[in-house]
Amino acid sequence: MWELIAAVAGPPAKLFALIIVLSAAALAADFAVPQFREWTRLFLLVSAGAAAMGPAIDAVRMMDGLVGKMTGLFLGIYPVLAAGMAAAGGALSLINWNPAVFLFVQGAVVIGGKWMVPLLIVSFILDYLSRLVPEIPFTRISEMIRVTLLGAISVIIACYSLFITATGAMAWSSGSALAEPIKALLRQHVPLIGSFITDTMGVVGKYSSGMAPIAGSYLIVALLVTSLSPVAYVLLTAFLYKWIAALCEPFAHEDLAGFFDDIGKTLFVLCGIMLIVAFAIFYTAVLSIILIKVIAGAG
Amino acid sequence: MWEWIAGLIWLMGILAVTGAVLGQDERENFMPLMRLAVLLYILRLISLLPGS
Repeated sequence: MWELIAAVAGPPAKLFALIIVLSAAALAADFAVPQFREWTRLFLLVSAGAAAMGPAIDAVRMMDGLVGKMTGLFLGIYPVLAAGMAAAGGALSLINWNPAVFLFVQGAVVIGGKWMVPLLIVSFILDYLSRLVPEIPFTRISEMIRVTLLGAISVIIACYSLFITATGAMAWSSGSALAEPIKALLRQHVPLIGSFITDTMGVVGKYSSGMAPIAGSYLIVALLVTSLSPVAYVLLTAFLYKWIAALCEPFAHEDLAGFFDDIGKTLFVLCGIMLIVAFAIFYTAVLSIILIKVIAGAG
Repeated sequence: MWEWIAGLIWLMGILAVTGAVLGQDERENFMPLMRLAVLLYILRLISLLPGS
């Protein structure tokens, strides 16, 4: 866990140090040569803005790579899985099994790779450009991109919940009463996507509680940790950007603090997309385990 | 699409430098011209869309 936090916090910490140095230089230049204020602002925004994109674009690239791998995995493994399950006899009567989810998982991954990642990068760029030339703002376009992506994510998650709970075989395990306050906390305090996190937690929780007797609870926990660690990575990065924005605000240029805030917002949307991908990874892994169990006659 | 975005970045960069060269007062006067440049550039996006 600490390794993950250290790996995530490293680049934003360096970025923050760079922002402090650049801001100090800009403030000194403003004091010494006030007639070049415009140029100082431009250089500050270009240098700090280019540096600020780094960790954010890294997170988007990680997501892009993950989605690409998942697409390959789905296209390769799903026909085999589906055929194997049908051939194993009685597999279709397994609880929690719903072929329609294939469609949504695959669709989510393809849409995630083809549309969401480019749109997120465009949203970063538009935020940056509207800070660079404040007279020509693109803030509403980037806000609309974020809102549209969040809408798409919420529809996909709603479909997951619908299809997975449609079999009626799944219910929250006994820990649900304990989980409610945590869900309420998350929903209120994680900006923008708090309710998505709790909804996905609900879906994955329902699914894994149904799967635990078949696949083994330790394996399920291991799968959950593996598939959710990219989500934690992106969520931490988003919060670090918000922190940098908050810490920069007293001394840095106000456009810079606003820009970091916007990057943080966009990364929260990315985190929502990562949740879908994490669920897809989890789902594929669990289905593979079930298939092996069914073929081995232990299902 | 990516070429269009890269072009937009170039255009806005040029406008930012122009704005810094012009200074605060003259920039106010030249702003309609800058916005016109952005408008013309955005119109190019529409021609890039499929079916147009």
